[in-house]
Amino acid sequence: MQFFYVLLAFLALLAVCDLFIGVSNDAVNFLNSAIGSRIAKMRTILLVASAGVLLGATFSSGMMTIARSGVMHPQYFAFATVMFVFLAVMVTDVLLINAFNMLGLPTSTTVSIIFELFGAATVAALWTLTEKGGEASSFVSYINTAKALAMISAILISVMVAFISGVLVQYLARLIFTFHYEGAYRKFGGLLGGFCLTAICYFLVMKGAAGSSFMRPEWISWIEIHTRTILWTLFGAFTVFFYFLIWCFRVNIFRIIILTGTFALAFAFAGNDLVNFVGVPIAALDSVRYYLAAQAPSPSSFMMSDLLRPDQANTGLLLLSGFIMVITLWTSRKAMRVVETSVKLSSSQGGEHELFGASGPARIIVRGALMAGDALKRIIPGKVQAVLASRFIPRELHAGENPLPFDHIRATINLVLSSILIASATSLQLPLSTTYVTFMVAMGSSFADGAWDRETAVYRISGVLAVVSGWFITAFSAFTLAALLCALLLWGGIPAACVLMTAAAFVLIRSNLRKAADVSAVKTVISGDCETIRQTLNDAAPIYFSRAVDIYGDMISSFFSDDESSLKNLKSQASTMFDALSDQRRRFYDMEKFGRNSRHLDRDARWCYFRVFSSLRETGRSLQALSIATRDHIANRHRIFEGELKKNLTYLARELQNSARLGDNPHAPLSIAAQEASRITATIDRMQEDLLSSIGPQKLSLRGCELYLDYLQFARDLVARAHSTAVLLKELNDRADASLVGRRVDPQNPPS
Amino acid sequence: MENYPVVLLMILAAAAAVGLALGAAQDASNYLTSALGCRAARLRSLLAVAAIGILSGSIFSGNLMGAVRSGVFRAQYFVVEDVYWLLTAASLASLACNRVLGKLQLPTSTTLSFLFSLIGAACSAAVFRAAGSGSSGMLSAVNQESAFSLVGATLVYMAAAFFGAAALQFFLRLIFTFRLENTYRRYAGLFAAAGFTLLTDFLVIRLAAVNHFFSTNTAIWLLGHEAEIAAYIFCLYAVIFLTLSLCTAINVLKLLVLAATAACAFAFAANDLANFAGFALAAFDAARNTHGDPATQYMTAFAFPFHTQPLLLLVAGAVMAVPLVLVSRVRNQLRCDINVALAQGSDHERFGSSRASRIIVRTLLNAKPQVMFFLPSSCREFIKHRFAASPTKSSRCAFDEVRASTTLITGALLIAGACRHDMPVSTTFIFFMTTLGSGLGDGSWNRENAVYRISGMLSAGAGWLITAAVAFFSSVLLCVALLWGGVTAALAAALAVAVLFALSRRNAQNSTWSVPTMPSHADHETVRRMVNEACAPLLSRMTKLYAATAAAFLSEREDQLQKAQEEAADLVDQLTELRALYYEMAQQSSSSKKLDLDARYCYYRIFANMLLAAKAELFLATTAYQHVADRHRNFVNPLAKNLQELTTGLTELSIPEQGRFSLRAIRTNGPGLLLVISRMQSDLLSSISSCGLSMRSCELYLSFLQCARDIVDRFQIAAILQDQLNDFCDRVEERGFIVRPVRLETRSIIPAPRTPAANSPRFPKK
Repeated sequence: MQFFYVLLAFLALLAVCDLFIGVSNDAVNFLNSAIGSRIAKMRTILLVASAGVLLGATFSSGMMTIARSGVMHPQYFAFATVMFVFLAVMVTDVLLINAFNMLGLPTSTTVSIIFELFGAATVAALWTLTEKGGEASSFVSYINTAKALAMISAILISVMVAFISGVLVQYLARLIFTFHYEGAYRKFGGLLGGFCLTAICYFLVMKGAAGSSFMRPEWISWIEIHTRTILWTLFGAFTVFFYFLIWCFRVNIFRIIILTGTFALAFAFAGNDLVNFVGVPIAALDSVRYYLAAQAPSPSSFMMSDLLRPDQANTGLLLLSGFIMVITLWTSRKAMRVVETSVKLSSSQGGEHELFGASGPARIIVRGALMAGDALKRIIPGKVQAVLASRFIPRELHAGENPLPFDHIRATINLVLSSILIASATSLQLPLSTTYVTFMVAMGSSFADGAWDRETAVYRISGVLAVVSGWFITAFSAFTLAALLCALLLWGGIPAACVLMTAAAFVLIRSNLRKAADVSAVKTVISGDCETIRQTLNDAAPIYFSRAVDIYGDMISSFFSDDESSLKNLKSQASTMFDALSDQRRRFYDMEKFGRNSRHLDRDARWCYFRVFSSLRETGRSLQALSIATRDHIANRHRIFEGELKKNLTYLARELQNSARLGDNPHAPLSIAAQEASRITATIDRMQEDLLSSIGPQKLSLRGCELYLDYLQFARDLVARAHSTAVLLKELNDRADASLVGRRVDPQNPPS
Repeated sequence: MENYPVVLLMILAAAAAVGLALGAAQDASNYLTSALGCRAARLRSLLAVAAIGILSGSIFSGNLMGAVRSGVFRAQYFVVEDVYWLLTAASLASLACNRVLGKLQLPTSTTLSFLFSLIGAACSAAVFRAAGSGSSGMLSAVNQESAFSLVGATLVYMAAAFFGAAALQFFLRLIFTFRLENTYRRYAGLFAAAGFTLLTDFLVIRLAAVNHFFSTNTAIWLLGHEAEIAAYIFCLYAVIFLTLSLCTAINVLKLLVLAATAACAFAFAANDLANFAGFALAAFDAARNTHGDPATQYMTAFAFPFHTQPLLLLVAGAVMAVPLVLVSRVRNQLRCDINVALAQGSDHERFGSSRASRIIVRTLLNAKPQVMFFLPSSCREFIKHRFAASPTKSSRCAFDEVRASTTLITGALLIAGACRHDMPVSTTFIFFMTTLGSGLGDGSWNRENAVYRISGMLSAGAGWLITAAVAFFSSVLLCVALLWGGVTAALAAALAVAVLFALSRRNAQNSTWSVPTMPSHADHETVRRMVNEACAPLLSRMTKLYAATAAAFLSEREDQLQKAQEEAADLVDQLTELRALYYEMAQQSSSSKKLDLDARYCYYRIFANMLLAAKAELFLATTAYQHVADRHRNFVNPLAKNLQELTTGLTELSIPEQGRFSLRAIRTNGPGLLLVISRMQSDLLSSISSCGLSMRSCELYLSFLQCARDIVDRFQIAAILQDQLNDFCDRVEERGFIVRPVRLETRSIIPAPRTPAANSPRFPKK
């Protein structure tokens, strides 16, 4: 029996960990809109969200039955079996979520918990059947098939419903308010506010009351009888209140609505997802309690029909979980990072950096949608089209304004709609994937807003498809892994359980230690004025060039020493450098976008920035190609150059390293002067000529020749690029200095 | 359907005819490559020799046919009807499997697909019937032990082929060395005699004996006195060939290679005829030997040894041989295949390097010093001495007659030996392995190619497995489909296979391009002519391709962009080949004049520049294709119009004539165009913010500009180099002495960075 206490303690530990991980991953769902639309300070938003989470946690008592009897029929299982099922489910959950996070696959805690229960229960049922020797056909009665099927289909359907309702509601809202909603806001703002708040009250409080842990039955029945009256009263009161605020105090009621929406979504999230994290441990705790209460003789003979009883979960426990979630919300740095990244990502539209690559099916869908759109245009009369188009004219940006990822209307719709959807599912005791629902609502609303233009559509659809396929992959692997682990537990008993617990603890610790290492800071956009750019370029360009030369030199020396592993290392260094350079170069577009009406000088400086980094990126690209070619040459164990060729290459590398040393002059930091550049180029030419004439006598292979010529070509490119960069930089520095002094420089004839 | 056997027989006959004709043409390159590689004869005469070999070999294939038939499955368990179905299914499956794998360039074998599709069909029919009747007795219908030994034999013979060829070649090379002219008189006659004797003994005498061409008594006598007969034959041959080699100018080694080629064709026909015609002939036998209801009568006829009609076999042989000799398309395809196979030796590796082969090469290289340590130093010296390369090695031949005859004789003997023991082996794999083995024995493996050779061997092994698996499963499925669907299914399957053939044939026609040939002596005049001929067509091809890419992009034609992409890839390949010729030139004659060296240097640089331009086009076509495939926004008007203007400007640069001034237009008009490009670039910059151009479109537009700039830049350099080449060639002609060419301009070869240009104004003018 002591073992089960250990097990219980372990499950509790896992629950706490799960809460931490889950909240830090999912907080983005309900914080994103409020932070992205810059409606309030971070503190305020977090406070509101915390209140929502705490309250929502107490409303999730109804959902807890899912872990108890939602998937299996506990009356057929013995106490020991049930405990093993729970252990298998929790361990699988930890392993799976970790693995998926590490691989960067989209996943959902709800889907995984349901399919884990399903898999483990299936194995347990089979095990019990073989032990008892019952009919194979009675297997079905062990699993709560009706409920399980309902839950699975609910998850799938909710995704579709979320998208479609997102599209429709947002389209309507946009038709009414348009992108210039200042006018419409005064007319319809109060109605919108009243509607949203009433809906939130209805779905969250009134329908969710049945699942809360502290509601008394008589209160609930009273609410049920008077629903209609309450709703109309609420609607009227809220509407009047908001109109009052708008007309008399000029309060921006969107602030109130969005904050309420954040609260509601946090509430719904806690209500729906808490079961994913603590449902199983609480069920296990209850099982132990029932077992102890019954004073049954042996754990393997006591049947768990008590789990069928709809027992209200302990409010204290739920509150405790809620507190853990709140603490995570405030303290987890990872949560903040995820939120920041997500906001950044959604704001940089049309960038080169898309979360999901283009996939074949997505291309087909986009193609079809474009054709359908053309067909629709032909059907709808021109006048209607013109009216519709006039409602969807996007707002012009003021000079220097940093555009919001989405405006208040869309934020409101996103928040209210997803919280309503989730809460209504909670009241039906159906667990949904909150992540998927919010994602799909956001997708739908941005689609209705026309934010999916041709530049992004294919990636958005790829994203949706990836999420849906992530669903299937999660389901499949959760089922299989939980089944396997459960079989292992049932077969191996307590020793196997100890092994599994150790393994899970190990994975948890390791992944949390690892996480600390790969904090990739989201770099800020540098402002696009001349001085900053000049500073950046003067700092960065020489460093990158000397790094390229260093890698080149190392590559040559490890090539001659036949060292495959160090070449592999150099290859990854070259790739990292190329990525960094691409990233730097991309910032040109950000600068261009955010600083459009800037000075002439700034613009020229930006152009200089672009050219320097383009040139550097090309260097990086060819360095990468060269490192791959070298590595393959050595990995294939081809011959290495000898004699004159070897001496020449080593000499060239040294020469480059000498000339690429950082100069002291802050105004012309690249010290590859014109004279030196032409000298090195002449050397390279001579080497090339030598090579071509010595192919015959020295019996070189074609492959070796090509590699040697690649080396020469890279060096030639590098020198040329460094030289032209030096010229560019000098010019930039001169002009910047001149403008600082106040002299006006004629752009037609820049001083040489 | 009363007369379904007739339909099935017709399908089988058609499949057999197609298989014979195409299979023979496809496999002929296996044994013809060696003879062509040492230039023993022209292709036409070789084909004639091979045809004779095939015709005579086909008569000897009867024995094997029966063996295979009863070897794989026990026919007496099946009713006649089922035998028809399973034979049809296996025949169609093996035909389709051969075709598909062949088109995918996987090493495949007709024997394997034959065996495994038969096994698959038999299994599937057995299981189908067992499931229908509920009895498990049918499962013994597949002759498991025999099937396993057949399958194992093909593997063992592959290994034997590799090591046998390697050992034989090593031994022969020790005798002959690479300086054949010294050793020819001493050993060639004896070697030829030995080779001819072996071929005669294995192929003619032994096979004739087991194929019941003689009366039983004669056969027993022949086999009993084999050694004596062989000795007599050897003496006879020795006299003939010693006379020929010592007294006449006839190269007996060439005769040996020809004879070995014929022998290989012979062995091939004897072994592989069953693969193509086996199903049909078996079905005919079945039809002839049953005189009752095919649905109830059991198929006992197959169990007995059976003599196939020699006439039928001869007809089958003729179907194989005639297309080889008469149809020119087959000949051309064959020539192409052989060229590819021969080119492999130099720089074109058919098989990439794989991790496994890298590990093997690494291990072998590490093990080599240890092995060397055990050999006494005198022995090492001797081997090194005998394997010293010939000082006057002509580069025209890929290898000499000794290696060709080793490859061929080992292959022929192994196949014939296997035939005699009723073992079908995979001729393709055998020849593949003997080729590799003789190369190893010849010391032609080195660090440059070992990894590709070994991955070739590994992929042969993988091809073996894949062929087996594909044949087995496809025929299992097909057989179930036929048993379930009846004649309709059979007709549908036959139609599908026919369509497959028609489709894959069209592809074959598309993808043939000739490897550029190397002139025999690359002096400066030849190089100059090559450059003058090549430049203009390449430029016009590139500008056309650029125009096509731009037009297809602006009109959003995904298919055309794909085509442009393919063409660009083709262009890159061809230019790579052309550029690689510098290497062959450099190897050709080490004692060239300085002037020739300079000319070759020019050649290299010109083609290197054009290759870079082609690569830029490939990059552009790929990006543009992705853009359209993702349905991103296209360029709107100022940009689109500018691009079109640029395209016309670029197209005007190429003049459709050859000669030394073919690139003149690009020298005169190129700089102007570069200015236009720079202007367009600065226009773009100013429109990023005003038109709300997305970063992706912007990058693509810059790629278009950069590609145009690359073309102009690169061809300008090429034009300068071409002029210099022509100039100094002219000067030599006029004055009759060599002038050191001025050092080529170095600044211009520096490539512009991908986006910004060297020639563009440093800052956009506003």
